[in-house]
Amino acid sequence: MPSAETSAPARPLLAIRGLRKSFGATEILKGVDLDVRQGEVVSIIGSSGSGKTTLLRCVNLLEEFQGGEVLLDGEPVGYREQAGRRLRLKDRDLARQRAQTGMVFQSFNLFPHLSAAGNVMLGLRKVKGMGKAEARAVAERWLARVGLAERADHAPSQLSGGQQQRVAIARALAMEPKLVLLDEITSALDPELVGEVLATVKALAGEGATLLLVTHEMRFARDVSNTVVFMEKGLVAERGPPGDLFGNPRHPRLIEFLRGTRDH
Amino acid sequence: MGYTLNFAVVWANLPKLLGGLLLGLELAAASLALGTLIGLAGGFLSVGASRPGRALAATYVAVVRNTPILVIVLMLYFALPDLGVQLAKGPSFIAALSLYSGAYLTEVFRAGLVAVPPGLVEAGKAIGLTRFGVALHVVGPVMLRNVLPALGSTFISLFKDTSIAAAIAVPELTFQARRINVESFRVVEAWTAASALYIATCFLIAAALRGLERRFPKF
Repeated sequence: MPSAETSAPARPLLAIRGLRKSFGATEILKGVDLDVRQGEVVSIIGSSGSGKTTLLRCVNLLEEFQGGEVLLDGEPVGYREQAGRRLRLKDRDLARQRAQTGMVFQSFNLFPHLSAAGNVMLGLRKVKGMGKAEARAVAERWLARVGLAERADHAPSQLSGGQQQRVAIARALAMEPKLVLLDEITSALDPELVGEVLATVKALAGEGATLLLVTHEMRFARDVSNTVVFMEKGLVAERGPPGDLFGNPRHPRLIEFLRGTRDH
Repeated sequence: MGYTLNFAVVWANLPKLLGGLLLGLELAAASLALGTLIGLAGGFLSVGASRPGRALAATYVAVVRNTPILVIVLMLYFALPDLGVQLAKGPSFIAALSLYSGAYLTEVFRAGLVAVPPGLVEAGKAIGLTRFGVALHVVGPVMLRNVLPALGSTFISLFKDTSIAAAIAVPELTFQARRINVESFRVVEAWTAASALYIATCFLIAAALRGLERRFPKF
């Protein structure tokens, strides 16, 4: 019985091709190739400085990149070609493309002057043009999904770190992005608050959200991902299903890295 | 030989003094509005990506802040007409005070903008806001809360600086006090009354601003 996978290979939702990025003279990404299919959960692991976070930030156009391309649903992101020259898109087009991806940050970055609901509503109202009542209803629905229905009118400063991060997840997801980027979203949390955030992400993954995440939580990467990518010195050094990558690592640096993370 | 206080002249002239006070408040309000617009523009320029924009803001602040307010007032009122720009006393003074306070407010807003965490800008971009949308809905409100205390003292200075308008015979409070002084020779009474009115008004402005700060709690 032919399945969708064995017939025509579906175009990946996100296709990163030969991505190069430098800060000044320092090359951080040295030609990264990576695909993320619709509904797939891809975790990027690797030691600090390997370029994981920079890769995510290039996908969401928070960083400019010098070479290669990022295609989201077939559309080149951030740049256009004109007469053989590579031009950065205008602010309005960048904003439109960014609205198609959601991003959750390590440091939550909630808008401090808005309530939990206000944080979720801002994009709905000002980017999607929703009316106030509709945006409020959507925000309440998403806050309920991350278990914070009762906190809708709390200011960020009145919420714990874990709650803030769940609001940030609701804020990203409420925009119904094609792809959600999660950048070390538990690194700034007290250990006892990590679980609630990871459980939220796991639930989203179970519901078919397409996630590309950078994490230091190896057990989480193993549990939640379809694919794990190991980055080393600005390149993808190894990729595969979590069972293979964690169970039978081949790249010497990955073996070393996994030994290091098991120590603590 | 002692000086006998007699405030009768102050009571007799109270409507003129209060009228002068009101005029001062009007001058301050108009300059505040214009100065805030200039300050916002200068503040955003001075932290912006455009190098000419940053240079423009820095030059403006350097020139205006290093010129005494009295000189700016006299320059606009007496020198500009020779260059073909004739303004009435009131508007001329408002232009001078706006220009002057705009420089201080540029610095206040710049400090407030620098204190906005870059992560908030990125979060605003990440939900698809344009640069202008981020400035309007994220950076602006956070910056205003940051600068509210500093804004308060700038506003009070601005109101007190309306006394300089007396130099070009705008009939505000200081002008009225000097008129009483000259006409009645009640020197102490005239200036005591003016001082008391300035102090009381500034006190009220400060109280109102503190009330405003309480309404926007710190993040």
